[in-house]
Amino acid sequence: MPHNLLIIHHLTVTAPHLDGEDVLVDDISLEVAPDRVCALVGASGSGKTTTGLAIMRLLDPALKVTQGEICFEGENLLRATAQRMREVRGGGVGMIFQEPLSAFNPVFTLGFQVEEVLRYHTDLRRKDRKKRVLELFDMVGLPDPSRVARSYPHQLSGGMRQRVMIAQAIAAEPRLIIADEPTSSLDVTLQARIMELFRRLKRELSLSFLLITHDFGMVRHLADDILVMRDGGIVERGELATVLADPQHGYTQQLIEASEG
Amino acid sequence: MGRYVLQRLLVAIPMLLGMILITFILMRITPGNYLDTMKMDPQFSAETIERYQKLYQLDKPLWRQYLQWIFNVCRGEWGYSFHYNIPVAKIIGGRLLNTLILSLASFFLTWCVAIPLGIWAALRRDQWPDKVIQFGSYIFLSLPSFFVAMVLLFWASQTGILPLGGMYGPNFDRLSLGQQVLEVARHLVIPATALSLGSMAALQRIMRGNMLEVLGQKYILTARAKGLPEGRVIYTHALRNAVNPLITLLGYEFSGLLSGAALIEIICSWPGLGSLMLTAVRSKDIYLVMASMMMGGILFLVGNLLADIALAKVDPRIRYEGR
Amino acid sequence: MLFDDEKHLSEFQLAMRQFRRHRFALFCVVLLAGLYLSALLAGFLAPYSYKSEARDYSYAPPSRVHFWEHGYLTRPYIYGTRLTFNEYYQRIYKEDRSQKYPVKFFVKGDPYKILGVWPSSTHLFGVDAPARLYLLGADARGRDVLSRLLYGGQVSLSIGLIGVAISFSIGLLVGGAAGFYGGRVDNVLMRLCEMIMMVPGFYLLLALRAAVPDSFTSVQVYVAIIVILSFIGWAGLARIIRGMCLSLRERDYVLAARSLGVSDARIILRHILPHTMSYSIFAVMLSIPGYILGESALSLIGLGIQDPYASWGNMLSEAMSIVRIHFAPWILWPAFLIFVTVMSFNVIGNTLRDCLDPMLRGEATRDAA
Repeated sequence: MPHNLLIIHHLTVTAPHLDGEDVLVDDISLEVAPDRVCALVGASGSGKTTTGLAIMRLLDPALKVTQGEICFEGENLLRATAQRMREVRGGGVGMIFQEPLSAFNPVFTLGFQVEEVLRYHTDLRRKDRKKRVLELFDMVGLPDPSRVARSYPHQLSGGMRQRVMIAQAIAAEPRLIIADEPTSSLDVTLQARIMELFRRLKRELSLSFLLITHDFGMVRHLADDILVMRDGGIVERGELATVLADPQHGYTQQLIEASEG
Repeated sequence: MGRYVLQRLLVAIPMLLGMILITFILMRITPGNYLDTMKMDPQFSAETIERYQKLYQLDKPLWRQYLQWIFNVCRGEWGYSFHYNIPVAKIIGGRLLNTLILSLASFFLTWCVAIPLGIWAALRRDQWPDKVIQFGSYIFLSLPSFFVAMVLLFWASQTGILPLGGMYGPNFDRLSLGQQVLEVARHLVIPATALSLGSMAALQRIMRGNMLEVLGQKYILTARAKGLPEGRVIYTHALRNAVNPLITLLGYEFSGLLSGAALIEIICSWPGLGSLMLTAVRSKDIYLVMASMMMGGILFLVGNLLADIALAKVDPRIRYEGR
Repeated sequence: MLFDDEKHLSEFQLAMRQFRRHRFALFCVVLLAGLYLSALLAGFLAPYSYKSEARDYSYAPPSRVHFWEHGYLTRPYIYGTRLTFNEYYQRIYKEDRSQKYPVKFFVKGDPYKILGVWPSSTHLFGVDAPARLYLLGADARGRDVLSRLLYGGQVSLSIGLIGVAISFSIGLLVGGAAGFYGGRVDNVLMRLCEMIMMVPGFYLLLALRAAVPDSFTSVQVYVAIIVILSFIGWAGLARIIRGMCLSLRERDYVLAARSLGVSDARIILRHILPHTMSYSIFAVMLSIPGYILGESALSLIGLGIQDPYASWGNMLSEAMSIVRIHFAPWILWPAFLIFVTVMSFNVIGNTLRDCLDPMLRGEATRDAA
C-alpha cells in the first residue's frame, strides 16, 4: 500500500568473501504501517539486525545489498543521496541500540550528544536547543534533567542511559523508530519500565516501531504485528494475536513455547 | 581536579628524591675525589677548597652528605664547574632554555605532521596513499636520527640554503628581535627535522591505529545514525577519542625527546643541555654532569605532570574517578 | 597439564603461522640472519684485518674490479693504484694499468681467530701485496671499509643481543615478581622502574659512562657499555612483563592450579613464564635497536668503542665532517647497515606484535597502566 510508512521489497544482503558469499538477508519483504509496533523476532544470526542497519544504510562497508527496495514514506532509500540519507537518519527514522554505554561517546556529555541531533536537524538556536533537550529528558521520564545533561555516559546507570538514548532517537521527531534489542542489557524491572515508555511515546508522538529482538516476552507486551526471521528469511508474519493463537511455522511454535516455559 | 594534581605531585616528589639519590650514588662511585683535582689546581686557594669541603660535608658520613646534597640542590647550589670556571647553576639555565626550544620545536613539528597524516592514512586504509605512508614510516622510524642530521648537514653544505649548525650567526646581537627570531628559526630547521623524523613516523602509526580502532566503535555508528555529517563524525567524535591515548604518551615522548635532542645537539653544535653534558663528561666535570642529569629528570617529571593534567582535562573518565 | 601445554603451543603457533604470511617480515629475518652470519664469519669474509693500515691509500675509492679482458669473461682482477694530486693538492687515485692483480680466493692474509679461539689466516678472497682490494673504499688510514664493517658488525650486533639478554632476564625476574604478587611488591618495584625510566636515556648513558674509569681496556669498556645499556633498558621490559603477568594471573588455568595447591614457584615457572616469554618476544625485538643505537651514539662521539677496534658507530665519527662525506661518501656505509638492522628488528617486532595482538588484547584489558 502506498501510504505505509516503511515498505521493504525483496531485500537481499550478502557478505562477499574469497570463496563466494554468505547470504545474510535472503529476499525479504515487509511493511510497517503508521502507529504500529512491528516486531522482528529471531535468534542471533537470523539477519534481523542486518535488516535494521540496512534500512538506515549503515551496513558494514564489506556487506552488499544485491537486490531490493527500501521505501520510506514512498522514497527508495537505497537510491537516496548521502545528503538525503543524513536527513532521513534521525529526522525520519531514529535508531536505538542495545548497549547504551558503548553507544555513547565517552568524552562528551549526554546533553551535548542529544543537542547535536537538534543542531543538525532543526533551525533552533542554542538556547532553544538546550531547553528542548531538557524537555526531551523530561518526556522520557528522567529525574533531574539538567544533571543528566551535564553528565558523562559512565556516570549514569544503564536504565537512565537507555532513556537518554531514546530521547536522542526521538529528538528530531522521526516517524519510525528502529529499536535493536533495546532492553537486552537491562534487568527485568528496568525492561518493564522501558517498555512502558515505548508504549507511552507511541501514543503521544504517533510513532511506529520496528522492534528487533529475540525476547519473545517483550514481543507479547508491545507488538502489534510480528515477523519471525530465521537464517535470513521471514518464516511467518501477521498480527500478534493471530500468530500467537495459531502459529503456522514450526519455528514460531518453538519460540512461543520457549517463552512460556 | 585540583585533588588529582596534588595526588600526582605527591607521587612525583619521592621519585625526584629517588633520582637525586641515584645521581648521588653515581657521583660517589666515580673514582677519584673531585676535590683532589681542585687541590692540584693552583688557581684554587686553600680557603676555596675549605669552603667546598664544608659545603659538601665531605668529612661527614655518607648519609649526611646525601642530605646536604639535597639541601644544596633545593637552595640552587648545584656545584662548581671546573671546566667553565663558574658555578653550575649559572651555566645550566641558558643551555636548558636552548634545549627546550629545540625540543618544543621538534614536538610541534612531530605532532603537526603525524596527526593529520595518521588520520589521512586511517581514512584511506589499505589504499595506495596508506600503503605508501606505512612503508615510508618504517623507513623513517629506523633511520638513526644522527644519520639524518649528518645527511641534512651534508645537503646544506652543498646547497647553502640552511646554516651548518650552531644556534645563531656572528651578528646576532646587532639584529632586531624579529630578525633574531628568524635567525634562530633558520638554525632550528635541520636539528628539529632530524629529531622529529623518527617520532613523526612512530606517532603517525599510532594515530592511524587509534583512529581505526575508534572508527570501529559503536558510538561512531550511533553518530552516523543520528544523521550527523560525516565530517563531524570523523573530526569531532572519532578524533577526540583517538587522540586521548596519545596524551598518555606525551610524558614519555618528552623524555625521549630530551634524550634524542642531546645527540642531535652535539652533531649540529646546538648549544643546549645535551652538548653541555657531553663537554662535562669529556672533561670529567662531575658536578656539571650530575646537574645536567638531574635537570633532565626534572624536565621529565614536569613533562609527565603536564601530560597527566592534560589527560585529565581531556578524558572525563579519569577526571571523575580520581584515578 | 597436557591440555595446558597444548593450548600454549597452539596460541603461539597460530601467531607464528600468521607471521609466515608477511613476506616483508620474513625477508627481514633472512636479512638479519645474513648480517649476523657475516659477523660470525668476519675474519674469513674480510680481506683484511680491522687494523690493517695503508697510509698511502688514505680515502682510496672502491676498487674497480674488472671481469672482462679483450672481450672475454675472465677471472676478476684489479689494477694497481697510483696516487696523484690535482691542482688543488687533492688526492686523485688513478689506475695503473701496467700492473694487474688477479683476485684470488681462499688466500692467506692477516691472521685472525675463528670465533675468537682457533687461529687461522685464510680469507675468502684477496689480492697480492702491494695492491689493496677495497671493495667499499678505504678510510682515513687506508683501512678497508668492508673489513671494518664486518668486524664492526661483530661489536654492534653482539651488543644488541647480549644487552637485551641481560635486560630481559632482569626484567623477567622483576616484572614476574611484580605481576604475580601484586600489591605492595608490585608498587615498590614499579616505582623503581619508573624512577629509572624517568631520567632521559641519553643523559643517563653519558653519566654512567663518565663513571667508568679511564684506565679500562677496550674489552672492559665493551663490557661496561653493555652493562650500562642493560641497566637503562631493563625497566621498560619489566613493565611489559609485569602487565602480562598481572593478566595471566587471573586466567582460569592458573586459578585451577592454585586451587589444587600447586606452589607459587611452580606456577610461575610452568604456567606464567612460558606464556610471558612467547608474548614478550616482540618487545625484545623492538628494544634491540635501542641498544644498537645507544652503542653507536656513544661511539660516534668518542665515548664508546675506541680505535683501533671497529664498531659501526665509531666508523661514523669520521663521517662527522661534511667535507669528507663529499669526497669519500663510502664512509657512510656503517650508517646504512645500522639503518637496515634497526629497520629489520622494527619490522619483525611490529609484525610479531600484530600477529599476537588479538591474544594480547584479550589479556591486556586487565591492566591499563
